[in-house]
Amino acid sequence: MEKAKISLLQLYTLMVLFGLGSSSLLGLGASAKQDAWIAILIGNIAGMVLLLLYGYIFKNYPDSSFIETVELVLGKIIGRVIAFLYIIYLLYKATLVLRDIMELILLYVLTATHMLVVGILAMTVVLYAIFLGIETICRFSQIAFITVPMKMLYVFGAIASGITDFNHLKPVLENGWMPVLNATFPLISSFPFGEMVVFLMVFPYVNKKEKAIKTGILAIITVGIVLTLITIGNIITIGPLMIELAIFPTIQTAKMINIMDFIQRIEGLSVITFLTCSMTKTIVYAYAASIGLNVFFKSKNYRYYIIPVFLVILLGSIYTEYNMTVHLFVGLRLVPFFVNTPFEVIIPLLLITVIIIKNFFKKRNQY
Amino acid sequence: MRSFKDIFDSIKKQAQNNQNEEKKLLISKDLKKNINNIKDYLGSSTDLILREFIIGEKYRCALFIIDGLTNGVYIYDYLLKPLMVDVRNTKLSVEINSPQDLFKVLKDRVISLIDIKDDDDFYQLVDALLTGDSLLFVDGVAKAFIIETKGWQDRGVTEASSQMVVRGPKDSFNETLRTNTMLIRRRIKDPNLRIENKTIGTRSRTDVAIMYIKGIANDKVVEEIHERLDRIKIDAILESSYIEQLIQDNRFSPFPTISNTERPDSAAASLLSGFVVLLIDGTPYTLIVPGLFISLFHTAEDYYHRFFFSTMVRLVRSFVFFLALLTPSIYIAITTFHQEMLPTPLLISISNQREGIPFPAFIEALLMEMTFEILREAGIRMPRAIGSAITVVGGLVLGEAAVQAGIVSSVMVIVVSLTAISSLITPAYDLGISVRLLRFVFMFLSASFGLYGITIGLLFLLLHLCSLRSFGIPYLYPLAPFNFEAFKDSIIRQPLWKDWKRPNLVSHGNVRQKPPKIAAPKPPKSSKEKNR
Repeated sequence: MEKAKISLLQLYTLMVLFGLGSSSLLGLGASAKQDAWIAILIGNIAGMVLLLLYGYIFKNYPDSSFIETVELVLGKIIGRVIAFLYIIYLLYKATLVLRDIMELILLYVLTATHMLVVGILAMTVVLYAIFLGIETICRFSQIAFITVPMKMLYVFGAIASGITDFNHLKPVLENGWMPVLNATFPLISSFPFGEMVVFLMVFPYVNKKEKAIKTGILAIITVGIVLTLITIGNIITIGPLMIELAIFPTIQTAKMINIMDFIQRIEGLSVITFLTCSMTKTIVYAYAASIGLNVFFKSKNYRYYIIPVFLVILLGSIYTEYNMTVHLFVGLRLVPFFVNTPFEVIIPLLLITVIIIKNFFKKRNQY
Repeated sequence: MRSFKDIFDSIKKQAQNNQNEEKKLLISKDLKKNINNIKDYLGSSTDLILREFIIGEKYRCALFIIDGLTNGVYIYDYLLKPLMVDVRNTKLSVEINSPQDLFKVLKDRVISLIDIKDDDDFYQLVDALLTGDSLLFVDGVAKAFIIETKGWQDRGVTEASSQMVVRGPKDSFNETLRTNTMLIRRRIKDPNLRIENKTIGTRSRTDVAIMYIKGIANDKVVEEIHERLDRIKIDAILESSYIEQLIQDNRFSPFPTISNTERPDSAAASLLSGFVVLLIDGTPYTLIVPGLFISLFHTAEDYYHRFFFSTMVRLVRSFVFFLALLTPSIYIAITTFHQEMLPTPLLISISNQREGIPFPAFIEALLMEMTFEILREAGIRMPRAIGSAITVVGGLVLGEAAVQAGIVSSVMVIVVSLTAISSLITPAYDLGISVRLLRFVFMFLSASFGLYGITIGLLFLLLHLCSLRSFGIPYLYPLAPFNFEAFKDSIIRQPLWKDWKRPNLVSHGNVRQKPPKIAAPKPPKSSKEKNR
C-alpha cells in the first residue's frame, strides 16, 4: 500500500470513468434487442446490491487492501491461494480492456499499424500513471471526467443530424422478460458493475471512509444513466439489428452523425473520448495488480512490479486471443460466466459468510 | 571504528571553528591600521573614496564611501557639513573628554541621518560599505559607524514592458528592491504585511525579500521557502530566474512551477489571496509562490473588467492554449491519416494546394515551424535599426515567396501563423516557451501515430501536470483536486459582488475575502416620486 489520501469526489470520478471504460463502447445487452436499455437499468440495480456486499467486506476491514483482507479472512493457505488468483484476475481483466483499446484503434484510427505498437504506446501511459501513484491517477480522473458529458454529446449529435427514429425502441418487451434478464445476468451485472470489486483495493485510501460506499453507489447510478442514454442513442440511430452486428456500435453511431455537411465522420474524434475511459480502466486494473503483488509478497515498494505488470498485460492482451471475433466471444460470452461470476459474486459471498461467522463467535466470546 | 569516527568529528569541529573565527574579525583602535586594512582588503579599488578629517582639534576621523552607490546630498549636507563645519559653530552642553564620548555625541546629536548603527566586526563593515553605506571611523575607538547613505542611478518606475494592460495601473517594478517593496506597501497598508530579508550569493550578496500577509499566507509554505532559500549555495544571483530554478519542485518539468510578474498590482493581488511573493534585488521580475498552472492564464486586468468579458477572455485563453499546442500536429494527423474527417470540398481544396509540394506534411510543418522559431529569435535580439528589413524579408519569404515557389502550401502558412499568434496569447511568457517545445513533440507523435499519437501525448501531458506539485500544492488546483470555491476564479471569473473565498489550499484557512454582499442598488425614492 502507498501512503496516499484521496477525496470522495476523486473516488466518484475514478469510479465513473472506470465504469464507462470499454463498456460504453461495446453493444451491451445486444441480445435483448430494443430492450437493451431495460437490461442495463436492471443490471444497474444488481450492481448496487453487489457494491453493498463489497461495502460490507470493506466495513469490516477498512484499513487493509482487498488482497490482505482475503488472507486475513480465509487463513494462511486458502487465503493466499485465492489472493493470488485475484491478482491473476486483475491482470487478466486488464488484458481484456487493453485488447478492446487496441482493436478499436486498429479498426478506426490506425488501420495499417501492428497491434504491438498500439499496445506499447497505450501501456506506456499506463506504466507512467502507476509509477506516479494513486493520488495522481485520481487527479487525472478529475480532469478526464470532461469526457463523460462529451460521450452524451454524440447522442444529441445523432438527434441533431435527423437520423434517429424513436420507433426503433418499440415494441417494448416484445418477447417478455426472459431475453432481458438473460442479457442482464451475468453479462451486464458483472460488466461493468460487478467489476467494481477492484475498488476494494482503492477504498482504503479514501479520506472519509464511512462515506466511500455511498459515493460508490452514486457513481454506479451515474454509470447506469450514462450507459442507458448511450444505448438508447445507439438503438434509435442504428437500430437493434446493427447493434448486434457491429463490433463497436457507439462508434458506428458517431460515424453516422452529419450536421450541415460540416461535422461529419467524427469517429476518429469519438474514439479518443472513449479511449480516455478505457485507459483509466486499464490504469486502475494495472495499479490494483501491482499493489496486490506488493501486498502479497510483502515488499517495500509497489513500483518494483510495474515492469512485470507492464509486460504481462501487454503480451497477454496480444497473445491470449487470435482475433477480434475470438476476443468478443471470450469477453462477452465466456468471461462473465467463468471469470466474473466466481470472482465478483461467489468469492465475495464466501468472504461475507466467513466474516459473519467470525463476528458471531467474537460477540459470543465477549459475553 | 570508533577512533576513526572521533577523528572525523574532530576535523569537522575544527573546520567549523575556523569558519566561525573567519567570520568575525574585530577592528582595532588605531585609525591608520583600520584605513590600511580596508584599503588592502578592497585592493585600493578606484571607486573607494576615503576622506580624512579632524573634529575639534585632536579627534581624527575617516569616512569611507563607494563612489556611485551613495547619495551625494546625504554625504555633503548631512555628514561632512555637520561634522566639519557645524561642529565648530555650535556649543554642545556635553563635555567631550575622550574619543568614546565623541563617538556617542556624534550619534546622538550631530549626524542627522535616520539609519545609523555601530559595529566592530570588520567583515560586517565591509559588507555594509559595499552595499552603499558610509563608514565613519574615529581614532581611538574600536568601533565604526555604518551610516545608511544608499542612493544610485536607477531606471525609475516606468510602464510595464512585457505584461501590458489596457485598463489598470501602469507602473511596474524596477531593479531596486526598496522601490519594489514600496510599490507593494503602497497598495496594501495592512500591518500584517511582512517583509523578511535574506542575503543570497557568496559573491553577489543579493538581497531577497520574502513578502506575505501573516494570517492569510500558508505558514508551511513560508517555512518551506525559508528552508529552500537557506539551502541555496551559489556565488551570484543575477536574476529571479536563478532563484526560481534553484527552489522549484520538479526540475525536469517543461512547465514553470513558480510564476512571475513585473506588475505590482498582480503581486498585491497574489499576496491578498494567500500567495508569497519573492522580490529579488536587481530584477523587475518577482516570483509568486506557490505557482499554479491556472494562474499562468490569469492577468491583473481580468479583475478590472466586468465579469462577462473576463470570463470569456479566460475561456478563450484556455482554448487557445490547446490551439497553440496542437494546431500543426492536428493538421499533420488529418492530412496524413484521417482525410475522411474533413468535409469533401475542404479536402479537395487542401489536396489541390498540396499537389505540387515536394515534402510530406510533417517535413513541411517542421520546416515552417523552424523558420518561424528562427525569425522569432532574430526578432528579439536584432538591433532596432534593421528591424524593418527582417520584417520584410521574413514576411515575404515565409508568406508569398515560399507558397509561390511551391515549397509549402498556403494552408501550412495559415496553420503556422495561427500557431504563432496563439502561442503569444498566454499571459505568462514561460508557458509560451514550454508550449513551443512541446509542439514539436506533438508534431512528431502525430506524424507517427496520427490522432492516436496526439491522444497518447495529451494523456501523458495530463498525467504529468497532475503529478506536479508546487510547495506541496497540486499544480492543477483548483481543477484537480477540484474545489468549487476556488474554481469560481479559475478558468472563469465570478462577479466581484458575489461571495468570494480564498483558495483553501493556498491560503491559511478559508477566510472570506470581504463579505461584499451588497444589495442591488436602487434609485433614491424621492427622485422617483419627483419624476412622476
